[in-house]
Amino acid sequence: MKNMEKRPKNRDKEDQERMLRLKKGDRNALSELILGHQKSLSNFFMKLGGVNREDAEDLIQDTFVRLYKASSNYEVKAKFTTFLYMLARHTWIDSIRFKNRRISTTSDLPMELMRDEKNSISQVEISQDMQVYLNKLTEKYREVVVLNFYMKFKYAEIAELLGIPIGTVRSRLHEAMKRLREIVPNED
Amino acid sequence: MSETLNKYKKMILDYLVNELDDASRLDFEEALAHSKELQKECAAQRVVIEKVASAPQCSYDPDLNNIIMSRVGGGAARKKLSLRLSYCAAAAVVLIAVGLNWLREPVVEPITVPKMATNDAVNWLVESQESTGAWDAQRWGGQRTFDVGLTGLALLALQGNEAPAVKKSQDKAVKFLIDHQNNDGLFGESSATALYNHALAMMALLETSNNSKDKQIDKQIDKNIEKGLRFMVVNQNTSGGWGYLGALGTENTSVTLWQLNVLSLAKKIGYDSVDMPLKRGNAWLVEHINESGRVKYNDDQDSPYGHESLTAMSSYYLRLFEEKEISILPSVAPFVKNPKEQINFYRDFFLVSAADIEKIESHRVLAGIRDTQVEGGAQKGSWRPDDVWGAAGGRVYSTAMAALSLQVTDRSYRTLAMFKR
Repeated sequence: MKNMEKRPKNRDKEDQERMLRLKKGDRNALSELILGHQKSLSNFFMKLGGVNREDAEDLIQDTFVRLYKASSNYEVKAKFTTFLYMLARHTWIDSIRFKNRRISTTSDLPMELMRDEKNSISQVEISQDMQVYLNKLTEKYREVVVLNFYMKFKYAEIAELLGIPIGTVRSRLHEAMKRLREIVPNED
Repeated sequence: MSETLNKYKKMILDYLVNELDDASRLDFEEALAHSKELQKECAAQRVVIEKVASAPQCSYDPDLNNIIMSRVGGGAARKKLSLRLSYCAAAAVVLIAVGLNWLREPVVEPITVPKMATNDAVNWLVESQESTGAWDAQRWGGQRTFDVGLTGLALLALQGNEAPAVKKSQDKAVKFLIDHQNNDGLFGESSATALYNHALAMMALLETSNNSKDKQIDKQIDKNIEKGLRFMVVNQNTSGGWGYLGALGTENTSVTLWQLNVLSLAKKIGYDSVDMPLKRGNAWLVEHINESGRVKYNDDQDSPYGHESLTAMSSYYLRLFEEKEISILPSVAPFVKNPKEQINFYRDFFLVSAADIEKIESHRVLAGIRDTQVEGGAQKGSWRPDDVWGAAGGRVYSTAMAALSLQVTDRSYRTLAMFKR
C-alpha cells in the first residue's frame, strides 16, 4: 500500500490552528490550507468519479469557498481533514445533483457518469483499470472505498464524515470488498 | 470449526485496514497463523486493497489559490486599498507591508491609456481600409472568408469617432456591408462560420444606426437590420442555440453568444420581434453555465482554447443586458487579476469589457494590450496578429479587438446610452 495518502498526525493540528486563524480574519491561513490540500482534494474528487479536469477544479474551489464561509463558526470538534472532506463530499454530491438535473434520462446516475468516458479525468490520468472497477461500484460503496482504502480515513472518521453509524460504514466496506473481488482480476 | 473460521473471515477486512482493537488483532493473528484457508482469503483481500490504494495519483497539480482567494474577496479588498489611498499613503503602506511581509502581491496601479494609442489604432484602421469599404483579411494575414466580419469589427472600433476621415471610412464600411447582404438576410458568404460574420456586421450596423444623425441612412440600415434579424431567427436551432450554419447539432456558446448580443442589442433598441428567440437563446446559454459560473463550449466540453473567453463573454452579456433569470452569474474576477501571459485579443476584449461592467479592475489585461501596440513604422498603431485567432483574422482583427479593448469604458457608456434612448 505504498501509494496511499499519508496524513501526518501533527499536520491536522496545524490545520486546525489555521482554521482558527482564518476565523479571526487571517486570509493567509486560507491560502496555506488551499496549498496544503488542493492536490489531495483533486485526487479525492477524481476517484469518486464522474468529474473531468475542469469539474475537479470547480469542486476544489467550491469546497474552499464553503470552508471559508464555515470558518466564522468553526470550533475544534473533529479532525480538520474530516471537516474538510465532509465539505468536499457535500460539494461533490451537490454537483452530481446539478448534473443529474441536466441528464435527460432517469437512469442510475453513476452509470450515466460512467458513460462520460471522453471527459472523465480518471480515464486519462489515473490507473484506467482501477478507476473502471471503482466506477462499477455504486456511489455509497465507492465513497467508503475511496475514503478508507485510498484516503486512509478510519471507520469512525468516515461515519462522522458521512453522517452514518460506524456499523454501516463497516458493512458497506465489507459489501464493497465482496463486489470488488468479483470484478477485480485476481492474477496477482 | 467452520463457524469459527467464518467469524475470522469476517474480521479479515477490519484487520487489513487496521480497525481491530489490540485483543482482537492478536486473536485474529493467532488464528491466521494456523489456517491456510484464512491466509489465502486474507491475501486475496489484501490484493484488492493494494490495487485500489496503489492507483497512481493524478499528475495534475492544480494551483487554485489565487482564484479561490479572489472568490472569497481577498483580492478585491486589496484592490480597493490601492485605489483609495493617496500615492504617499500607499507608498508608506507598501513599505510597512513589505517590512511585515504582509502584502504578498504587488500593488497594481491603474493604467493610463494615452489617447494617442487609440488614435493611432483608428488611424491604422482607416488607412488600411480598401476603396470598396472593406477590410481585406488576406492582405493583413487573415482568411478571405472573414472579410465581412472583419469589416463589421473594424467599423465597431471606429464608432463614436466624429473626425471627417473616420466618418468617411464608416460610411464606406456601411455601404460595403449593405452590399454584401443576400436575399435571405445573411451578411457575407454562406459558409459554416457565416454566423460570426453576420453577427459582427449586425452589431456594427445596429451601433451605426443609433449613432447616425442622418434619418435617410438610418431608415435604409433599419431594413437591412430587420432582414438580418430574420435570418438569425430562422437559423436558430430547436434547442435555442446557434452553431455552424447548416450543421445541426453544432450549437456552441461562442456562436450563440454573438447572436444573443445582437438580439439583445436589437431588443433594447426597439426590435421587439426578437423577444421569443432571445428567451430561448438565453435559456440555452444558462444550461451551459455550471455551478461555478464556468461557461462550456457545448454540451460536452470546454473550448479547446480554455473557458475564459466564453465565461467573459457571458459575464459581459448577462450583466450588460441585465438577464435576471440566472442565479449563477459568471465572473471574470479570477482571470483579470492574474491574466495569462499569452495575449488573446478576443478573450482580452471580453475580459476588460466584463470587468468594466462588473466594476472590477482589469489593469493587467489592459497593460498587456497597451504595451504590445506597434509604436512606429508602416504598421504604427496596429497590433501584430500573434494570438490563436491571428491566422483567421489577421492584423485587422488584432487591431480592431485591441482598439475596442482600450476604448472599453467609452464603449460601455455609448452602449448604455443607446439603451436609454
